[in-house]
Amino acid sequence: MKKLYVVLLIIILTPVAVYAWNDCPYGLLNDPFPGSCSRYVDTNQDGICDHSQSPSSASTNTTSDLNTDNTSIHESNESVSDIQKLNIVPTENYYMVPLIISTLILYLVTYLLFLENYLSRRNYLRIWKYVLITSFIVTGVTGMILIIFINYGIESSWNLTINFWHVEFAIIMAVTTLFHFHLHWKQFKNVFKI
Amino acid sequence: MTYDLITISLPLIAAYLGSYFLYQKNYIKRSTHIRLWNILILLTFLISVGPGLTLLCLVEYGIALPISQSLLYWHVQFGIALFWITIFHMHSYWKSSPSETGQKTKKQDAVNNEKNRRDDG
Repeated sequence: MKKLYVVLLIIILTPVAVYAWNDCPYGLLNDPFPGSCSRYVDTNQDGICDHSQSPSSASTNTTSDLNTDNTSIHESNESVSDIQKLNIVPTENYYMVPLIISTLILYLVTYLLFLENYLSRRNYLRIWKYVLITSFIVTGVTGMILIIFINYGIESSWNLTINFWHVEFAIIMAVTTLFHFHLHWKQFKNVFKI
Repeated sequence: MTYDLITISLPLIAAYLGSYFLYQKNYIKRSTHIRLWNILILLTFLISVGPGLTLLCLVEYGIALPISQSLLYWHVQFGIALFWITIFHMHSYWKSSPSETGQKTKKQDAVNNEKNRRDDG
């Protein structure tokens, strides 16, 4: 039964890996191995991210790359990828605005409860401290995993999932950090006092 | 493109240990040690989160700018620094806030209650 749960969890968490061409969200063209972000995918083994090249240029590269050795890949690794001239790229939804608004509403509710004495200052501070620590841990750990994946050229179907949760928790962390400044405003101002 | 995970992490850890050693041996005040790392965390937070949020907005609205790759690069580089400095920050403040450890809680709650009673009255 446990195994069934684990399999179900993996199916739910693993996104459908759709490897598309010429749809880099950063607008990069011919991004060399190991890529600038965690989306790097190279189905035709030409040392260039599929998202940053069109299928036609990829097929041309494949035929030409058949005659080249690994040194050309290492050379292309050091070069910086071009930026797409087009300004419009496919959108991706990270729920930025709903997340910011929800976190803000929750903060205001707890602030109101604190002001109305339904919540002690200790618990009020504690709640937001734990939210900040949790969001930092998830953001930090997923970020580190992504850096290791990029640096060592590790491709997996988990890259997009990890990237998604990195962004989601980073949004919460950024907003909660602003609340952290509000909660510790006196100490915050003292940092810059000489 | 690869990111400087080790070359950023090791000097930062060494610098924090150095600063902590100086504070422990009373060469510098605790406030100096804390203030130094608070300024650094604020700077790395702003430099890492700024490009991160800019990139997020661009990706959400499907816009690619010529500076997108530079933004991503500096977001990651300063993100590595932010990761370590945040751990140092948590270490510095671990159980140091009186309001969170409960030392002043009752007093503060009483003051709050009194204030609210006056407002209601």
